[in-house]
Amino acid sequence: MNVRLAAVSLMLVCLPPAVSAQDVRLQGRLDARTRTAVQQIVDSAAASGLPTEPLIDKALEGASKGADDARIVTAVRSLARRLRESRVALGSSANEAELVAGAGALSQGIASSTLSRLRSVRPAERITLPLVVLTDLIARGVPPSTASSVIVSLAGTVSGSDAFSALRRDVQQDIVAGADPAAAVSLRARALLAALPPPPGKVATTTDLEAASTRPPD
Amino acid sequence: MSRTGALLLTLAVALANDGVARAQATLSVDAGGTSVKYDGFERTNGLSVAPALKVERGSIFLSVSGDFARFDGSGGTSALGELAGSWFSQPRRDGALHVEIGGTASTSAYRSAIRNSFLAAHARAHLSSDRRGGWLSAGTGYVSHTSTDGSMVSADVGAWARISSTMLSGSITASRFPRANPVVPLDLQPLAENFAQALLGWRDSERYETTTDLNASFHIPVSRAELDAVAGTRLAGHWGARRQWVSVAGSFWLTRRIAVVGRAGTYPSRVERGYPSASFASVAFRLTSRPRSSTRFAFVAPRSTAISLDVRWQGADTATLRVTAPGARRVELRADFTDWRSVQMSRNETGGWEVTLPLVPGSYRATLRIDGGGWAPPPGTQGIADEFGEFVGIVVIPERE
Repeated sequence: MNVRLAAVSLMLVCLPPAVSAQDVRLQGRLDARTRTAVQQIVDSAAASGLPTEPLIDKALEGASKGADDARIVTAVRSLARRLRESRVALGSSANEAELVAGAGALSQGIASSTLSRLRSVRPAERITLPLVVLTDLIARGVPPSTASSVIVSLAGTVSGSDAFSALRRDVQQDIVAGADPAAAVSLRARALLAALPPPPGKVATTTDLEAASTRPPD
Repeated sequence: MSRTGALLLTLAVALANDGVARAQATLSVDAGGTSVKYDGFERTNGLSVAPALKVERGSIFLSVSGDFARFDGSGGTSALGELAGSWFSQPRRDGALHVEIGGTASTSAYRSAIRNSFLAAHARAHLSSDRRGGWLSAGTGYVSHTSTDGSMVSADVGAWARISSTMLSGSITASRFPRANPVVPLDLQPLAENFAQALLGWRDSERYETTTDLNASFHIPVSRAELDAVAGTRLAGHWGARRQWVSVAGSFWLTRRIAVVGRAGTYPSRVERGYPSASFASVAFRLTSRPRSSTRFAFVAPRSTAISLDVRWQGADTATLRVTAPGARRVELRADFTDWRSVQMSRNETGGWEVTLPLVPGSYRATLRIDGGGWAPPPGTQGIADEFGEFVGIVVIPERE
């Protein structure tokens, strides 16, 4: 009897709910039809183990900006697809912030293979900030191949996130001052590399970065 | 007059009730030379001084301005004084409906021949996003002229768009006013069809007449310079020697408070005031307590730019976001972590702006708005095009150390 009760309880716990409740934040922000369409995408993502919060945020962002219903649903669906692609590239150990940052990088034209390379050079550390800085650099006009190579090389050379915060800040200043984006990234990355001690067992030289920044696009 | 009185009373109540922020005043004086040729008259040259005081207090805008000119030969003198004010409501939701209630009082005199006074109030609904918008307005007032007086009504509809830093706007204005006996010959020619009459049912009579004008303008700020242009045409009603008009104005800031301002062009007849159309050119030095755009649009660009954003953890799941924005009167934040609702930041003791929110580490999309201007990526982030035709920045909330 106890075994049967335990088995039934286990089944109830493991079974996903047939119909999930709609997120209360969507009420009043989207019309009923759009809400249902968004909720279906959210439910599908949840069933796949993907984070759903970014999808709700995307729908709310569209509503806040006055986008039409079709555009909101398309944006949410595209984000769900990129989150899925991001998880494949970054692996199942990636947390929500990394998946979101990875999806952001993919939206800027970064190849999923770059995300995988970034994960492989930093298997034990979070790569949220490197992914965000990579996205930022491309939006600032740095060629994707150059930005990808520099970020991957830097991620494999230094630990922590300070170097990426500094790179983001310094490149922004250089570009505002009139520097070529690609040149600014290469120069600043080399300067960071020279200033920061590499982790034990890893030795990178400025030549590595120079070679990386001239690597052909993915 | 009863409608005018009611609107002015509404404005006065709104002004009295609004005590949102400390008033900020901008004083400017334009002084230089001017040349005017009224159509049908000889060109006349002179010197002019135009002081202006603009005061902003929360959602209230007030301006007091004057223009005094002394012309050579028999040109004599002209004087114009104007007091204008508007109150803007807070939008019902982000980038949506604003209501403006305003009033204008002015008086002018040219030589001893023309004197008129003007008192008007208007209500205007603005519907806008960050980059485009439109308005619909109705107003009423009272005109007193050398030869006549009476009530007037007006209505206008317009739209604006911002493309990069260029602002474009266009409007159609219909007015019905007491028919003045012009002191100077206006060579009035009636148009066959009058939009104001057709759309609004306003009819000309012995005492009243109507006009419908189409105006377009643009404003381009380029580094230390600003360029403005206005063009228009009288679609219906009466016109003098000119049915179309165009003028350009350029400002170049020599220092933060001194600019050279040049203007040239034509303007239409002001039938209700008895002024004929004219061509003009002027050059002046402008001294101001703060550099400002020479053209005001429905929603002006913010006067302050945020220069930094930092995050400080307050507890396990609460963090304070701080923004440095010198000169700002209002700073709002809209982000993933606010459910994309506008959250107003509070001024802290150091003059910065901050808001404390429940947060978890991660990367978030966010935008900032300063002084009711356009939403923009937060400082230190790069604007990334979103799926909705706007730009966002990515803010990284770091792990708590």
